Amino acid sequence: MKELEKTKHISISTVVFILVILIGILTFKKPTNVYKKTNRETLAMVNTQDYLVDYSNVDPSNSVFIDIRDRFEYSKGHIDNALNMPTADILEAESIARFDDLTNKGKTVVFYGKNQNEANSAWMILYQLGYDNIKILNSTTQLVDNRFLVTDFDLEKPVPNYLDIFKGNTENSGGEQTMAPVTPKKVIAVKKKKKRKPEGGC
Amino acid sequence: MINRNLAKILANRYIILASLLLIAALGLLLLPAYQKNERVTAEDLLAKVVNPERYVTSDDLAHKIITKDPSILLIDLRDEKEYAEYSLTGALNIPFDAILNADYEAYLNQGQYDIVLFSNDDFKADQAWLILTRMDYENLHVLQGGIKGWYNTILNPPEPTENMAKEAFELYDFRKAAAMYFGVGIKQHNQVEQQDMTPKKVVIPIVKKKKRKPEGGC
Repeated sequence: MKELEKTKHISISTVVFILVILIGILTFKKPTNVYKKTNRETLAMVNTQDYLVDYSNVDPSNSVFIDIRDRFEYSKGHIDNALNMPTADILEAESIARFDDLTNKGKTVVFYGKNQNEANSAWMILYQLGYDNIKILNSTTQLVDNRFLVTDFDLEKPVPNYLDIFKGNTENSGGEQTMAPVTPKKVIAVKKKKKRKPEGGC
Repeated sequence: MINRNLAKILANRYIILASLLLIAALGLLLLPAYQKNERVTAEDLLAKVVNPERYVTSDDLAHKIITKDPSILLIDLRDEKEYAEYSLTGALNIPFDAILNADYEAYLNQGQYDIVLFSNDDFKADQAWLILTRMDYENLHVLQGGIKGWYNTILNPPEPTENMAKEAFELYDFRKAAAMYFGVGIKQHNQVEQQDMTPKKVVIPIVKKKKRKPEGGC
């Protein structure tokens, strides 16, 4: 009799165990968007310049422009035939479905914003999610006289000879000019005094 | 009849239960294969990306450097050559390619300092920000405009025109003074003098003295 009790306990606990596993599997939520690229892969991609595309090199028959600025900016002016998809909306089900659709059709998606940097975040997130067919337009865009202008823009290019500013005033000036800028220094002190005073009150 | 059937099933119950357990165990083994989402999810990352809080303006940064704010850590993402030529005061060089190196992790992954990333533009810095934020590193900021913006606002600020507001002139004065602090327009005859930059040192104690007085009230 005692043995029968024991086996009963064993079978009950096994059933409970299986139930727990089943509940776990049923309530398991699969993340909707999963990264397909690791950080290192992303870094390697970012280091190449392959994801930047010049306006003149975009093949209109096989590409879709997507404007990632907000709706108001888009309504004021945009590239012809461009779709609007603000950065904040890129992960919505509708947008993801559209990207999937475009990927299946083998089209290239070109993101653009006010400048490359604005389009970069959206591109990077989608790239990490595995969308390889997205590129960034290597241009700045702006609305001038109701015309939407696209201008090529070189990224990460330092101001030419910017170090010259430190050499300045030595060659073409005497002692007077070097003395002159001393006065603005006092301005800092005065300004701070004014700023801090109200803070210190009790 | 029912009793007999039940007895049959009950006789095999160990085999049935054991096989169920085995299936469940196999299922658990296969689970992580399609789950995997390391640290920050894409949705959270997007929420952080949309928030422009990460940008630090060059004026704010200049103010922090001049007041010797101990809580900021500047990180120069340009290559070593550019870093050697010029960098912001107290900046640390971590070339963009190397941001994931284990050597630099201690600098980037900590909660003590407010890290300000900068490059020539803010494009590279923003990319670095995204990669590091995905790893759930905290307190990361991006210098708006990068070195180029720094040059155009602090080192070589545009002069305000007469019809501009008073604030524009105050800002210009501040920027000019800041440029002086960072060594613009100081007469230099040779390299040795350049490293000294004595006028810079004279200013700091005055600023600090004035700062402390009002703060100490009652």
